[in-house]
Amino acid sequence: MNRAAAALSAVMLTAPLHAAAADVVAGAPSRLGVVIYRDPNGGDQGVAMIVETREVDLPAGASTLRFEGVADTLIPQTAAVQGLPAPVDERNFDYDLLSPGALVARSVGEQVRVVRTNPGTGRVSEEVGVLRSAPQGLLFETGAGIEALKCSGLPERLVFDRRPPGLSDRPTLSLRIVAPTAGRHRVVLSYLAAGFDWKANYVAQVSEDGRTLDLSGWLTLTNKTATSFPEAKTEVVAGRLARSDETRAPDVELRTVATDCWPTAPWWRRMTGYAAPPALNIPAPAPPMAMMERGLEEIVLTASRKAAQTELGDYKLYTVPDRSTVAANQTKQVAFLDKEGVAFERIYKVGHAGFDAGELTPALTLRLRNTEAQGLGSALPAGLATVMQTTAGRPMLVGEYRVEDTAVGLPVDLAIAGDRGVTAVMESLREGERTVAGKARRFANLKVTVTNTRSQPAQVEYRQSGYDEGFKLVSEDRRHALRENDPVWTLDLAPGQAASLRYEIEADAD
Amino acid sequence: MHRQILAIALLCGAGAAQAAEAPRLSVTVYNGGVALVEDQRTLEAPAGRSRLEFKDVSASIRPETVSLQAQGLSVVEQNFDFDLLTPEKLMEKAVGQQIQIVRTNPGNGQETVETATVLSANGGVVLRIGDRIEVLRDDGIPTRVRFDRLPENLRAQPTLSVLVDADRAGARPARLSYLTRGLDWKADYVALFDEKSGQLDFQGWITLTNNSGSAFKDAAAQLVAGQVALSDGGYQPNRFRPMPRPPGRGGIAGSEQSDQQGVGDFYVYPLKQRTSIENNQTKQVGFLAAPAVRARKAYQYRGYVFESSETARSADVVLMFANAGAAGLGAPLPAGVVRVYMRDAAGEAKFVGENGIGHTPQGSQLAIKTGDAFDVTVQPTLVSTQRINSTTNRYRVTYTVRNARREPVEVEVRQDGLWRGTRVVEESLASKRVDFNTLTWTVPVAAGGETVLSATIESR
Repeated sequence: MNRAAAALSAVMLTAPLHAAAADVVAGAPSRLGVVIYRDPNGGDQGVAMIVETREVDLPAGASTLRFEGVADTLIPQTAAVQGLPAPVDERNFDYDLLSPGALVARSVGEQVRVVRTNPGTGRVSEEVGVLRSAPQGLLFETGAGIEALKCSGLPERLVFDRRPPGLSDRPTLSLRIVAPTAGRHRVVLSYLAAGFDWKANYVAQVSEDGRTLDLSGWLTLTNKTATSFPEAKTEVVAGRLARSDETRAPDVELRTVATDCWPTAPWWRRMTGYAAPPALNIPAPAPPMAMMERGLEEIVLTASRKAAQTELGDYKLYTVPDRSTVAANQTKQVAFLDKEGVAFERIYKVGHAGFDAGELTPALTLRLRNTEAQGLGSALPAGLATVMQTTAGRPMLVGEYRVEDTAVGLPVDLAIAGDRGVTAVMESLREGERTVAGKARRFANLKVTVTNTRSQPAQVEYRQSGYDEGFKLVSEDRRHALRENDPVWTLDLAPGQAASLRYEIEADAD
Repeated sequence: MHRQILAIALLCGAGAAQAAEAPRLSVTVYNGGVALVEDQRTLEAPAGRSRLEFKDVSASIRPETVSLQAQGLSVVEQNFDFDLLTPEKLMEKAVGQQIQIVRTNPGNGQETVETATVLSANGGVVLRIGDRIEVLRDDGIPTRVRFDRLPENLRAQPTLSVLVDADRAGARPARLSYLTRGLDWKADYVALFDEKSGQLDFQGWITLTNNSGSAFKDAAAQLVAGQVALSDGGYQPNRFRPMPRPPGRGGIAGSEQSDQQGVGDFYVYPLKQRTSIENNQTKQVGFLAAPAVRARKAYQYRGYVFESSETARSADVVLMFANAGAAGLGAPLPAGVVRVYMRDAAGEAKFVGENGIGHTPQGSQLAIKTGDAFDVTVQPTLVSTQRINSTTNRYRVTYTVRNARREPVEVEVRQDGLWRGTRVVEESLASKRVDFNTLTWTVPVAAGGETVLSATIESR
């Protein structure tokens, strides 16, 4: 096992960390790569894997190497740096941020100045004292006594002599390393970052003769972070990856200064629990959803060339043609599929549940086979498909349907609303109760007549569901298949043809 | 910065003895958001009773777990004051007392100072000034309020104070220990999988997170792998005992020996260098690197009951490897997330999925689901159900296994939900009964092809 121990001690043999370490900032990123993974559950947990190359000048001995300009949503435990001359002692991601609340909280017990402007004379006066409490309310002590700041109605401001150490303007990734010799290194930094997403959208344009359709597909890439990635090789991964909910950016708490002053409600109504008042913490800035609601700033369309598809393990990788800039708060669209003359079948699905004869409404589904022979034969990532039909020279929206991840060879069903090409009528020939093997059984003998009113052939799938105890199909005049345990009959109809199906079902009475 | 607070605290006149020297810290972090802090320092206390204040303890301390040990010092009482000092509280505590109010005339800028008695602080402040009763800032004129002292027990931050009885005056070494929330650690693993060579490049990192509100400077840190039972209530007396946890899912518990430092059911990972654990920091230290671990990819499909599906279902993609010395790994793996990377056609490593593992002893088998196969699917169909007798049915099932990949694959089809007395009447491929309620078949599928597995099974 000693590999683990050896690795650990190799890390530990190096010089102590607290020995003065040189502060080194890695050079600007180049050769960026952005690979976007969407949330497998359709939520906002999409991530991107960012890969970038940087030049680093390391002195001999201990240094702290900082990476600036990384995504603000970096997930620190996913960071990896390759190309360093020695093993990394430790890697840190610091997100104690400088904010008004953090500034005053770090200055409690320190000498600060209060500058006041007299509203009558305009005279500015300055008083030196010690900050006694913050940020849950500012209390300030001078030789004359204790005062609360910002409670008097006078223009007052606090002036600090120094910036508290250890607070940074943005989350910072750094690592500690001891280089054997000084030198320049080209390192590759990679990490996952939250706040990215992509979607697939399909448009199916049914031809005027109603026999084929044209299918086009678009990828919509979204960068909801505040970081831009210029000239990046941009890719998306299609398929469902297993994800852990522990892979997320740390919650950055921004402290604010409480503005409450003198009591304005009886104390018994103001009773709160122990610890800091909730007003101290506000959520991290710019939640992606809020951003979406406000509308992203820019939408870029790239239609001229298609994204190329290759394999990545058991997923599909789409590469956007040419390097392109994935800018902050940007949505980018790129075509990935463009197929003409895709064959399809018209399938009318009819469902009936229980025993009572009733009205039946056939619903049209266009069934495509994802094969080259049928004019398709490409991996189809899950997304929304919009079906359009040209009627009298005008495109009409006839349905919107969600397509799941579909491998080559599998069928794709597109449901179409409001098509009345096939009619179905049901009659109950006989129904009632009877005793079967000493048990009271309810039965119904049903007849269904379907008619194709269109000039194209149609297939009807008739499905009978039964939820009653002891439900059973007793007899039928055509052979059924089972679909999710329900009997399903398939009837093929030529243009103008009518056909009927007769079957008997029974179940326990009551 | 705590040190500065300490220094200034002397001005504050609380009358408490202070512990002014920088403590030597040792931090033991457990999985589950709790850490044991040991703080060694020199304490100065007068003979007899005195109150010691510790302002530099963790902001997320669990005060009921504090223990202070020093020679010739006995603890009389421990207090944790968390009544925070705010302008509002200050005014409430001033009821019945005198304050000074300074009014500034907005017209001519003149200041007038008066002494007032606070009568009440309910929904506004009522003052008596001489023989007049007024409401503070009723007229909106800028009015400053000056208090002459800070009340006791109101603090800028939660403060631990200990009432001690010392046998003599003077400095002595002391050891303060307590539990704190807000510190957590777990392991993060990077597995770069090369399918062709059947090898993993496996690295382990310890990820330490500090959201406690305090920094632990220059501390000796150690991490304990193992689940600690913690009561959720926080302020209840702590129960602190080990709880065994099952190994990683889908795996087999190991039996190999490890020379990792063991404590009871726990493994301890000390960081040999002192390190500063800053507030709001994620710190990572590598602890494991195994460059060539034998591994393979498997496709698995699991059916829980006999059923028909209208759509083809993706098979799981599972990465399988042994945490054993002979396979190139062999180390106790603390609980964490394994992130798997593979190279794309251009040779670039890309993320392909992740999953959690529990504490995994040496010698265990690991099976990590990385995702759903896009191109390998299984579509189950329950063709018929036939009643044999009052307890047994005969099920005819098929599984259509499709493979749209450019190479042949093997898919492990598992059917759960069987009962004792299950009998396979006939099947198109030989099954294996892995346990009393599970049958498995290994189904080969040609590139771009499909294989229909059919079986007739009698079961309850």
